Order: sequence, then structure tokens, then C-alpha cells
Amino acid sequence: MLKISNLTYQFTSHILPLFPHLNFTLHKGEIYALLGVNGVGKTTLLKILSGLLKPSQGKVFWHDQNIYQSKKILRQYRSQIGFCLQDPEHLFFKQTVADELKYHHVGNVAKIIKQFKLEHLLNYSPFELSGGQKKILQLAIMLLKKPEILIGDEITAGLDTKGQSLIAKNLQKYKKDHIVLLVNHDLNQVIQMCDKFLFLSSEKFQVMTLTDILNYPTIFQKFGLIPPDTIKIGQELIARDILLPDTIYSNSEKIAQIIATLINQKKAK
Amino acid sequence: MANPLLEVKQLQYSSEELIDLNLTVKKKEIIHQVSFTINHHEFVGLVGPNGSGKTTLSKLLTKIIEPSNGHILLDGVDYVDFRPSWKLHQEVSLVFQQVSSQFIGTDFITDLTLSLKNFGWSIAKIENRIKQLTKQLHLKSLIKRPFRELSGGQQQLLAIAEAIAVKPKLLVLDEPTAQLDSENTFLVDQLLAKIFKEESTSILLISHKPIELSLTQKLLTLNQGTLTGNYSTNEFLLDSNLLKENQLIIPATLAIRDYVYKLTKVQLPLVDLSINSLIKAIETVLC
Repeated sequence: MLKISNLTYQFTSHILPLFPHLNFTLHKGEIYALLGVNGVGKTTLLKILSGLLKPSQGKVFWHDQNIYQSKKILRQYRSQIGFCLQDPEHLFFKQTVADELKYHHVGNVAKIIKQFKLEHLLNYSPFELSGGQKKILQLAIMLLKKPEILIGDEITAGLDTKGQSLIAKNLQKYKKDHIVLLVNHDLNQVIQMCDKFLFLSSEKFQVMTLTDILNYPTIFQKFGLIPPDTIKIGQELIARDILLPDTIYSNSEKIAQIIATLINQKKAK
Repeated sequence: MANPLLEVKQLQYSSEELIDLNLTVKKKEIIHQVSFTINHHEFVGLVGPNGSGKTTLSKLLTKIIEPSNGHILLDGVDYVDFRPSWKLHQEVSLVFQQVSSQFIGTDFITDLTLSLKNFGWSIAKIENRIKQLTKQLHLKSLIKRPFRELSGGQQQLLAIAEAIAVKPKLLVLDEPTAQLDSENTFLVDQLLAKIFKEESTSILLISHKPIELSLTQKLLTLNQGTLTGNYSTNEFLLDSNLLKENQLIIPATLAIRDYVYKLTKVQLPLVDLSINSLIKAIETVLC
């Protein structure tokens, strides 16, 4: 359990803190999405939570221990974090994908290779992989050391559908015993993949479940975000009295089923 | 009929990797016999799964790397016969996925001045062009601010503005919005639409995003280094099977159309991928 208490960050050159004082707790078994417009401080918050940046105010507790209490505790805490960077190249330095994986030999390399379908890439240099393949390799390396908290900054950006579902599938498995926190710009993907949503702006902070969001779809606009397509379609159809306002439309299938029922009713008449 | 702007003939590219100190080299063919054309003032999209060779192809087209075999012709002139050879970089301009690798200067004005000076432009001509560009593309609020203070999307707008500053005949964009959120993606896509409307340049857009690809007129598909198809954009984007084959996300509007068809055998008449089009189609069918 990672508990964040009264936390904020202020750049020395700025008059105001980046975001309001934050209080929330992250549990294993959930994939969390951190949402907010560019420049709101998502990356800064990720750095604080991974022990790379000391907050200006407030505390981060890992199993009831303040991670910034001493250098030793901080070092221990950091060793339990897996941080996937937006640009995976910063992680690589070996000649081949196989060497890169073996270097982090703490885990079960053969299993990870199979899990991430890396068999055909083993003899390539990590640097000659495509952008998407690099992202997959980075996650594979991170999961080898089984971090207690996995943090991902845009780990599916630029991936094709196969790559995206490969990553989603692995994260679903991994979350069972670990905390997973993601920053992801593609909100259509986010609402399919994540369980809890942390909305952040310079004035507000709100934690929501998918049901909360579907009951209160204007939350996206409130935080300056463009809502995912299914939510927009649901809103439009409710506004035209085609869908009922108090029902939950979480994905394309559900919307389609109701439209199909209406079409069939019309056919029957 | 006039010549096409760009002609790519039987293009082939192999990467070479040094294996050991005996200078043993491992060769791997990445692009196989690729041929296509781009016409004057045409907006073309390029799609393909990860690792299919899209970025390599964009580097070949902008002469950052040279082909192992085959030819690229711009307005009938072979890339290898271009004199002076740097002139090519003025005619064909590239925007990268990682914006940060694009800039050398600290802000837009410094950076663009530096790059235009390299092309031999006078200071007066450069100042004029900057004035014109910022007015045309509404960038006034961004041009004096240091890049590091700007969002990824704002930086990408400036990178595109720099790329068209030299008035290229062909603008190549390699997944310009892959790292951006939807708000910034929207800004970049709006800018591209405006540029294509107002300038005579042709554009080649590499992208995984169906909505963004709807800006284009035709689409090329690349798979494992081979060109596998050439489609009209509308035909391609409304065909879920083609999207799936090319590893593209099915937009929610298409997914809903397909489910409804599966359940009722009634086809919602979509004209494009927009939400408006879906709502209209649903209203038409239900009324």
C-alpha cells in the first residue's frame, strides 16, 4: 500500500505549487491511470512517487514508512520500483536483446521472452528495434525484476494493436500482486485498461472509478481533457433521447446492443 | 499528364552491422523493392505494423540514409543527381516523432534563423518568412518562448512550422502525434489541414491513428518492408478488415456500426469516422 499524504511540489522559480495538496492511497490489484493536460505535473508526480524527487511538502508512505525518512530507506524503496520511461532507449546498453535480458538475470528470462513474444528479436541490437518493439522490450526488462510498484510513462504510445493488447494482457496479470500506475494520453485505451483514474489539474484532484466516470462524464472537460469516443457518443445519444440518461454505457458493445434493440423494435412494428 | 512529384522505383535498403573486429558485416534487408508515386499537392498516408520499415522509408525519402538499390526521383530528378546536393533538404522536409531531436537552438526564432542561414538565406528574408509563418499559423504566442517551457504539442507545432519554412515540395511526417495527448494531437492535425489547404506542398503522413489519417487522400500500406496496398483513404478507413490487417485501432464509431450489423444485419450508413456521422446514421435508421 502506497499512501500519499498532503503532498505537493513547487519549482523554486514559481510562485504557486504545481498541483493542490494530494491525499490518496494506491493498492495492489488495481491499474491506476494518472490523467491531466500536458504540463500539469504528471511526470513530476511520477518522479516523486518513484523516489527520484523529494516533494516540497507532504509525505509518501510505503507500508507505513516515510520513504524520504533516511537515505537507506529511500534506497530500499527505489529498488522496489520499476519505472518505464517514455523513451526506452535510455535503458539499453547491450549489444543484443538477449544480452540485455540476461543482464537483468534476476528473473525468469525464458518465461519473459515467451510472455512478450520476443523470440524472433533476441539476436537484434536493442537500438535497431522499431519504436514499438523497444517499448515492449523495456517493459519485459522491468517486469523481470518484479517491482512492487510498476510505473509507466506512455508505455503504449505509438504501438500497433497487437503490441497494445500484448502489454495490456501482461499488465492485467501483473496487477494481481503489484501496484501499477500509468500515464497514458490515449483515453480510449485508458478506460479499457485501467481500474482507477486520478484526475489532476493545477487546482483540483479527484480519484474516480469507471462507474463514477460513466455517471459523471463531464469530468474530462472539467479537467481540460477531450473525453474518450465512447463517452462522447453516449453523451450525444442521450442528448437526442435515443439512449436513456440514467444508464451506463461503458463501451462500444453496450451502445451497439441498445441501438440494435431499438432497430429490431422498429422492424417489429 | 504531368510528371508525379515523387517517384520511388524498386527501392531497397539493407542495414549493415559490424559484428567483430575482423570487419565481418551482418546484412539485413529492411525495405524490399518498394515502388510508389506521390503527385503534386497530394496528401498521402503511410500505415504499417511496428517494425514494418516506416521510419526507415521516411529516412530514405529525406536522404538521411541512402538506398542499397533502386531510385527516388523528385520532379524527374534522381536524388543522386541533385546539385548542389544539400538543396534536396530544402525540397523535402522531415518532422520526427521525437520533437526534442529536431531543435538545436533554444527557441523557435533562434533555431529557425540558424537553419535558414544554413540554406544561405539573408537575415531580411529570414525575418520576413518568420513574420509570415507566425501570422499564417497563429504561432505568435509561442515563438519567443524557450522550447523547454512548451508542451510537447506546442513544440511539435513549431517543428512543423520550421519544416515548411523552406517551402518544401514534400513534407514527410513520421508519427508526429504519437507522443502527444488528444488535445495536442487535435492542434497538430488542425495545423496540417490548414497547411495542405493553403500551401502547394505534398504531404506524406506516417501514422497509427485512423482519425488523423482521414486528413489524407490516399493510403499506402507497408508490411515487413514490402508495400502491400494502395487505397483511397475513405475506402480504407471505413473497412474494419483492412484496419485490422494493418494493426490499426478500430475507432469506436466503426466498432458500433459493426456490432449493430452483426446483431441486426442493418448497416449504419457512415460517410466518415466522425461521431457526427455515426449519430446521423443512427437517426436515419431509427426514424
